[in-house]
Amino acid sequence: MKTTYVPKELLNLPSPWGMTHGMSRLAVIRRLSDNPSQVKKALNVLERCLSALLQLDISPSDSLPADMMEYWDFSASYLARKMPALDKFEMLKVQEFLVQYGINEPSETLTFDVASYWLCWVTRDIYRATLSWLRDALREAGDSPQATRFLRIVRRYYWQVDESIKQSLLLASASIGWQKALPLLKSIEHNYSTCPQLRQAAQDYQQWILGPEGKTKAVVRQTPQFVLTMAGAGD
Amino acid sequence: MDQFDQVLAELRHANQLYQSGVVAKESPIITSAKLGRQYNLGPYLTQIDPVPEGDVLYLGTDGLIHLHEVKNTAKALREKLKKHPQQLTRMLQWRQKAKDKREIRMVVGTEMGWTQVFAARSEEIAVLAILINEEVPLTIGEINLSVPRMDDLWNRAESKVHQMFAQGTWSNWNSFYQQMRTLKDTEIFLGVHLL
Repeated sequence: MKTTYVPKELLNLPSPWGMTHGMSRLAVIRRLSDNPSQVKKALNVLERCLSALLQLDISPSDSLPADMMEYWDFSASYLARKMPALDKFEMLKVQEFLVQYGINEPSETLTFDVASYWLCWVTRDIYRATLSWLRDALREAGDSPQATRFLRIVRRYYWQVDESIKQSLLLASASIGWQKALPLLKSIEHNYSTCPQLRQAAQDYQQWILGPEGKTKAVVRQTPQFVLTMAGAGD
Repeated sequence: MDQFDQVLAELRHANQLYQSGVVAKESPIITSAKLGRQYNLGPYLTQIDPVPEGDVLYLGTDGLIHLHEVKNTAKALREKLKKHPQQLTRMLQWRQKAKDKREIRMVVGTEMGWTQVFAARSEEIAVLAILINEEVPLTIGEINLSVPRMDDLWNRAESKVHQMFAQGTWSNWNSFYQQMRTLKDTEIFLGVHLL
């Protein structure tokens, strides 16, 4: 049987990050402490996912059934139950699923295409979960070594990944790096080969950090009424 | 017509909030709140920055400032989150800035076609999954779903699908979601408590 290979970066991902079932992974992630050891693990997973995503293609092939693609989540999670970590990936499990889905004698091409699609989809899901967790754990971490490492990872991969991943990395960079992210944001804003939406987002995030007067904003509180404005790094 | 339905959904929702008694006595219900402006919600002056536009803003009887995104249908919400993911992102940032004082919510005006919250194609993530992940409650019609309830709904739907795959009783997605045309039907079909 034609087989799709799991990029080596995705093998032995630490738990819970490597769990293929998204909701199960989320339940564990929510209980994780944001101590330096966990942050280091998450940064490592993030980088491995980004590296793997450069080797995987999310575009669904024409062979994939349209209705399966429209409501993909539950099919993906069924495959995740069968293969709870990417180390457990097997083409045969994908073939079994297709039969249960109602496709008698699924072709080698179809099995390969569904397997490849699932692999990429799970990797992106792990990437998103990791990034989301890091965004909360490192919010406005600015000068910390972890934030520095995060920005280094972003700089390494940003220009190679697709638009959707770029969008999420951009926001996370602003949230985590705050002022430290400004050079990256500026370079994106002034890169005319980048799509206008991303360039605008880069500009918006710079303004968010700097404020309308081009200086880092501070929180202003006036008693007895709260004036809730955007907090600056110096808060 | 879509725009009219959208405006109607926002007004209907604002009216529902007023009727349900969740709005603090001293607070107005602001519709179409804008970035950069200050709003007086009784004891609080507030802004919605960095959210460009908020459909409904008010101070609740729970003491929290609430910001809602309202769409007339689940399909419209799905389109919004797909084409303008930054709206939710900005709302999350707004909430994060004062987590113990602020709440956000997605509102869908009608139950018709509500199962679109389960749909996701290619790089999309299903609306319901996004909201559970980000801990954003959802209102469908007049039914307020808490995040735990949404989580339960998702898990039950998933279990039902998986059971049908495993037992060989699976037909197709149309037949599956036909059993869930209303939230009431869904309660019966999935054995979940929603209403």
